[in-house]
Amino acid sequence: MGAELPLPILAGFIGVGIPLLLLLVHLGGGSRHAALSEPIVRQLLADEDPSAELDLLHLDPDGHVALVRTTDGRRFVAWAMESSPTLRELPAGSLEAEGEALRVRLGDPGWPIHRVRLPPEQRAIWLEEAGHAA
Amino acid sequence: MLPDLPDVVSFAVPVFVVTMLLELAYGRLTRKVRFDTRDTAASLSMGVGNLVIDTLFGFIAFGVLMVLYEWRLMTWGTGALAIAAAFVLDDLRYYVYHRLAHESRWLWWGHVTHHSSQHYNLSTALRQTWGGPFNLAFLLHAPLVVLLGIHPLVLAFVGGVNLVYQYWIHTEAIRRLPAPIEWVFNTPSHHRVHHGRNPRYLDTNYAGVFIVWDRLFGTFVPEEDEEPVRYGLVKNLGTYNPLRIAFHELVALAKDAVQPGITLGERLRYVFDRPGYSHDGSRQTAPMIKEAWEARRRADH
Repeated sequence: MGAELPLPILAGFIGVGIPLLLLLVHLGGGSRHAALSEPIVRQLLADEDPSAELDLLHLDPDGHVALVRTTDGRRFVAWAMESSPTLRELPAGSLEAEGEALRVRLGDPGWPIHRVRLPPEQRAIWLEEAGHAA
Repeated sequence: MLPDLPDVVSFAVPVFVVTMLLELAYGRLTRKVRFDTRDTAASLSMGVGNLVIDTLFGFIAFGVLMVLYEWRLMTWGTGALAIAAAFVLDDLRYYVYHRLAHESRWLWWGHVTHHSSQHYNLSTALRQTWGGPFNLAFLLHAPLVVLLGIHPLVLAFVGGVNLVYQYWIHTEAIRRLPAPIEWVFNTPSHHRVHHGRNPRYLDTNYAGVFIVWDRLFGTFVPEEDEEPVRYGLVKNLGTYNPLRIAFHELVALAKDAVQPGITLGERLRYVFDRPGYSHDGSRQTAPMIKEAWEARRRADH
């Protein structure tokens, strides 16, 4: 290749520009988590499968994670990734008790293990669900 | 004699930084563009990693193409018109590569990185693979080098221009351009469709610069105002970790291919068939998802 941008200038734009951009995004509210809610979960379900109907929804106290069951017996986990909520179906064996929490492991390298904190009675329901799923 | 062709990508880096800042400001004013901090950080990390890896290992691909160039059947010109023609031919090569990157898991494991954000802004354009030099996709340049005798340096130049062109179309700030431009060129509207996870939009609009390739080969789908694009993957990631973003699909591919109890043919299909292939029918490929969506649509009407 012929002419190229001198390395110090290139490194300067990357070294200053990226942190500056991230700082501005953060200051503009870009790090805020959008809490999950029933309408959001319903929308996520509709996106996943328009025929799916919500049967059971349990949100963790800060609204970051939700466990969902549909009327046809499928189970899902919803997660608020900053402003982007996302939903994945729970395969068999993906829910386990871990102390006071539930551990959600999809077995997918693109979805790390999550821990969901729910009141004891809700946790018991999901542990029973996990037993059925397994 | 080769003209002294500049490294356009390096010169574009300052433009990338300035335009992302402008898009952020525009988004703050109009609320038409969304940036999340960790999503943006992940995209930019992938971009910087891609730059470093391509710089460190790009010489392998370049070396192979230079060897092939010695076997060329003819010699392509190096004047402005010849380079312009090479740009068009390389854009067709890009269409083929991009389509294969969606239709074969061997290339998808790297390209999935680019589609893994649920946002669509200029930083998404920089969310690039870390596996480029290792998937042998550079061999798709071979026909241009051997059959037409286009010099690998010319291909590097036109490929760089193509890459820089594709940067600005990653935005929601521009709705639609005048019809003749929308007909010929890849635009923000066409490329939003390409990043959609809606069944209607899956595996469409593969063009780099000229959308006419999609119109020609039947893969063009227009953006419908009544169906806003939902960005990301059919199964979205739950992480901003750059290493997971870069290699999650390669790990999943390897796990599928080495699982016990399947035939050699099934292992090969896990590597080279469409993303979503499964030997037991437990997963869905894009055509299956589209077919189910079409069936639902017909039933609704």
